[in-house]
Amino acid sequence: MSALSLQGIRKSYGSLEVIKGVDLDIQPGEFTVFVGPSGCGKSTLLRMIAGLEDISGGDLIIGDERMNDTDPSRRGIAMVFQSYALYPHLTVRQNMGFALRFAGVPKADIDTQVMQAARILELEPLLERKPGQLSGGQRQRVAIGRAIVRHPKVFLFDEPLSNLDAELRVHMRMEIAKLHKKLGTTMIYVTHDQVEAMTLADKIVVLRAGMVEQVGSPRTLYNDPNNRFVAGFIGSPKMNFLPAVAVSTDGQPAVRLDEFDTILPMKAIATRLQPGTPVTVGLRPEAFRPDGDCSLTLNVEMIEYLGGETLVHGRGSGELVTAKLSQSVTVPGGERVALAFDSRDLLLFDASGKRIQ
Amino acid sequence: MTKRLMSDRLTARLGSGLRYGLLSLAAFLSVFPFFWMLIGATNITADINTGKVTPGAALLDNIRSFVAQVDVPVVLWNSAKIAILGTAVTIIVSSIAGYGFEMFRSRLRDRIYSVILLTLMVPFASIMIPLFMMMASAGLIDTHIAIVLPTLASVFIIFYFRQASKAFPAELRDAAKIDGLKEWQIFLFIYVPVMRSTYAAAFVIVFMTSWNNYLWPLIVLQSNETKTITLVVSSLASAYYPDYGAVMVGTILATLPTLFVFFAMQRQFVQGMLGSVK
Repeated sequence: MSALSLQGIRKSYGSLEVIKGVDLDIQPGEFTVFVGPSGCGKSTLLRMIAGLEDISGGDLIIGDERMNDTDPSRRGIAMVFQSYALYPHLTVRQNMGFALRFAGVPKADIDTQVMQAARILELEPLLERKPGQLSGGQRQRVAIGRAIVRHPKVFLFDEPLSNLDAELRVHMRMEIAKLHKKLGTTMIYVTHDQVEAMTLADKIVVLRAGMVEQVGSPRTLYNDPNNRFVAGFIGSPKMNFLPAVAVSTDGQPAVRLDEFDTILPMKAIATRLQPGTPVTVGLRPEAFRPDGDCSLTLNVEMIEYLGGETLVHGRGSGELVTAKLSQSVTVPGGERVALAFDSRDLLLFDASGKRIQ
Repeated sequence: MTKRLMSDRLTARLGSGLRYGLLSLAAFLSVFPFFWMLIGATNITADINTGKVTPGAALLDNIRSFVAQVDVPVVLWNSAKIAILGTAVTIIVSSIAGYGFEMFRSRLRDRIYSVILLTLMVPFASIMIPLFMMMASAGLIDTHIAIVLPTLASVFIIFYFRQASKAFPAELRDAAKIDGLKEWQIFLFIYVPVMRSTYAAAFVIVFMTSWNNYLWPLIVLQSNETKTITLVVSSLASAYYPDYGAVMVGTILATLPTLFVFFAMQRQFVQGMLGSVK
């Protein structure tokens, strides 16, 4: 049985449909991350699961119960918000025990549960402080603590680290991962930060314009994207997309890249393509390596040294290509340089953006 | 170059001088009535009429005269009862309305709100007579209820609370819903404490308006037992031979509660007017 199941979930505001039939199963204990560009509907979907937005169509099943019209407090969920949403007039202790107080839990039990959560999150010295006296990271831990004391079936996180600085974000990301390991509870996490998605998720759901583009493990989405959108969205720097034409060389599938005046073999493609079909070749910046069996010659426009890595930006006669090289290279701007890669790392997309395999 | 620098300095000094001059004039115009009131309370009517601006020795006589003419505890109690009850009711009703207008989405919301705002443009004088007739038909003339009833919902305070509610974080309401609170509980246990500066500012504004209310009480309250201090002081001032010393004592007495409320809540008032959510 799934911990949570979305079956044909839809959301409309008048005639505007923002969630267009989402089907998704989340297993117990799974850490699922919703990612997608701004306005793709990931936060709306999370709010629909939480009960903060009405569901226009489809079924939301939590455990084995249909929860479409159930009050948010009775869905067995707890939510951590981007802005923490701590009650500013209450102390940390009162904030954490607030939901239990309104659920009629005896005071002694509230104290016990608050102390347990405070111990897990190392919040004990801060219990009598008010949110205004806490740092961003501490506030976020209180917000998580407030969710923990409710012992939810599903934790919902709505971009919880967006308001933190880069260093604290990395720290809190690790804290959340540790917490998931410790509690083993199902978690759904919304973010637009793909590093968070890749590092935290058991399963990533990529959304675009209210629809699921692909669901899979971080490794699957990175190595085996279904379409050009997912391929471009996952990975940083983003994948290079080069216009090409299908050709056949000695009966083997290949593509011709006019802007580089080269033909590349497509060893990993099983589909027979009609010669002359326009396609798009995808090549990740990190796929460039010295021992590759193919190469592209770039007119180098810019080089960015990042310490252990170097980004080389250049082009043939058209699209800008980025190569991420692990060793430090010294390629002067304006020079032509041949960068090698393995042809098995090439991905191919048809004119509609669908992956050709 | 040096000439230009000197000219710039002169312009800056003149600008600054003009600014301070205007501010001093405004300060004088604001403070002088209070000064005149305090000085007047220590002088006899003849001195006040001549425009004497130095303290006199008639303060105790003026107090005695005022106390002899006015049942002080009764008029103060009447004023306090009307002001406190009116303020409490206005703030409760108007803040609920302001919260509702901001939090609940509906196609009719903004239309209804616009109609309510339009009523701000209707002068009180134009509804005074119909209102009086309504109160008369309800048998409420010469009662304090008749003073409080028309102030149940203040359009300005509804507007003020709606504007202030825009600063109330929507995520707090969401968090409270997930914590199991009903809408009235969110209002009572989250909104009210979070918006306490807004409430303090509204309290100061409504209390002052209510305490100083003159025209409507003048029409509705007819017996001496129900009159407020504002009405009583005004009636003393409009006597055939007004005792201005006693009037000034009455004016001080009528002013003190509003001054006390303002200074007691000054910090929250400023925060509330700036729209801060604490």
